Amino acid sequence: MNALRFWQLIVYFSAAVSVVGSVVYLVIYVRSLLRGQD
Amino acid sequence: MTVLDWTIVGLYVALMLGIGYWVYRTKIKSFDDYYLAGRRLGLPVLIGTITSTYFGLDSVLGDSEMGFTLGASGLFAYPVVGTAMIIVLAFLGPSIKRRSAEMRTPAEIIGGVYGHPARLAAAIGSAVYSFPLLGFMAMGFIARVALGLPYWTGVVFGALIVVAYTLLGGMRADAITDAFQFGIIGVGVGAGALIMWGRIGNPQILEGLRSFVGGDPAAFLSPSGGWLTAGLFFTYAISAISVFCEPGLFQRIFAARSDRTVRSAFVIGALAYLLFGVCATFIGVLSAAAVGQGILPAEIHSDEVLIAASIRYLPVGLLGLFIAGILAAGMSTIDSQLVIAGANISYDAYKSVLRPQASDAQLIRVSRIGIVAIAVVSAALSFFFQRIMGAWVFISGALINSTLFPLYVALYGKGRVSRLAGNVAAVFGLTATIAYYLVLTLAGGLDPDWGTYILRFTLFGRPVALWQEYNVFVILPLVLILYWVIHAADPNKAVRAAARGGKA
Repeated sequence: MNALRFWQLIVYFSAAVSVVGSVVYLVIYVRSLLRGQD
Repeated sequence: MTVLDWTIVGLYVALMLGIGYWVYRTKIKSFDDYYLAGRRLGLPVLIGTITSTYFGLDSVLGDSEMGFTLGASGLFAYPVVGTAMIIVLAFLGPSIKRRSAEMRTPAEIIGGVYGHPARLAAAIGSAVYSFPLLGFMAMGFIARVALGLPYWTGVVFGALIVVAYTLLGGMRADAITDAFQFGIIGVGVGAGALIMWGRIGNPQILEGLRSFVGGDPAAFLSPSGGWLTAGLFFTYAISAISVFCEPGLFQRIFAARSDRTVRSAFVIGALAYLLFGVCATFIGVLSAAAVGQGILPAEIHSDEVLIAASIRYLPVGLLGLFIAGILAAGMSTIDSQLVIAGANISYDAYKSVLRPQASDAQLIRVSRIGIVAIAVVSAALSFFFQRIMGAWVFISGALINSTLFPLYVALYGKGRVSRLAGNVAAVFGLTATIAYYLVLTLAGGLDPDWGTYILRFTLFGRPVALWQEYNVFVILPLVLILYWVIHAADPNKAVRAAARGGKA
């Protein structure tokens, strides 16, 4: 169970950063695309 | 899949075609615009396109497959090794960009130092590597598994869509669609891992894994898995060295606005690659628990678990977005390969050998003809090839053996250079790879246990087993030895003009 808890922490962290990071990335990218910067 | 999910997939395809048409109408003025997006890619789009090129469909499906079959230790098979490679490139990339300021392809760097034979060998290695055979096979696979359609529909419609926007928009359309794909895949694998873990729950995960492995699941959750040794990890790392001469990554290095942009994009891309890899691997681990719990069917094939788990666990709407992301992961690999193979034909062969005075308009036209020809041949071949790994071993061997060594000597070697040694090494690397593959296929046997061709013989009284997978381990050292022997013996060494656009 300890090993599972350890991986749960790693996976929840990775997944949360992936989701939030990807959404923030898409917002930043679309804004720069619309401004003609990229 | 509900109507909403299908609508999202349809909208995504329409968006990609629209991007191709928009770039075609507004941005394509020269061959550099077409092949290198005008060398103006900024940080956001570069992060997306580098990560998407590296974290393609093979990574998404491969990571989950490794998690499903090996458990947590599957992280070391792809994601950790891949992240380490991208971090090395974060340091190498800027200096490669500075040392090859006006260059467009790795083959051109090689040709600038050694001459036409080496350039053509490297261009052929790059074009073979860039045949989107695996991508088309994967599109057929997704159509069958995710959308419930016949294999051929995925190959044919996937090819038509990707060829359409690649012909129109070239590398810039490729980079923009990559950026969207990067965001969608990140949301998809992240949300997938969170939702799956939450819905199965810890006690059930442990019980499911116990039932799946038929005993204590400790090894399944251990980082080493009870099988991973330092030697095996090193072997994985060696087998991933194709990334150091990957034409797609070189194209992105050349297309970046500045060398600082290259470094930042690779560092952020490495982090994203690791995070996505952890999520995809653990979707595989959780799928194993779901099989143990009887939620997913026991007879499920390991390469189908990611899609099966998504269909089972992702809510309406997010499923459509995720399937669109998976389709886009396949397409973004194919479009990148098509643009590169087209440039190998137009720029490295047509312009450098047949018609040096060719204009940019002619180069773009020849590239587009090459792209259509390669797409048609690859789509046709995707119906005949059965062993994906066999094809991969051959094409990555052709690239590494013909290109890796001459390229890095051209970029970083010091002193006078033997053009003869470079030409012989590159041509030998390519032809030896083809010969090795043919000999093992014809004289060796398909081993039913390992699923690969092995040639067994006796050398000095000892039994030797040559695997198809060993081609880089056998041929690359020979390339190295051949180069240095000829280099030492060649009295006509030229003063290096290096890879900065000059001739040696």
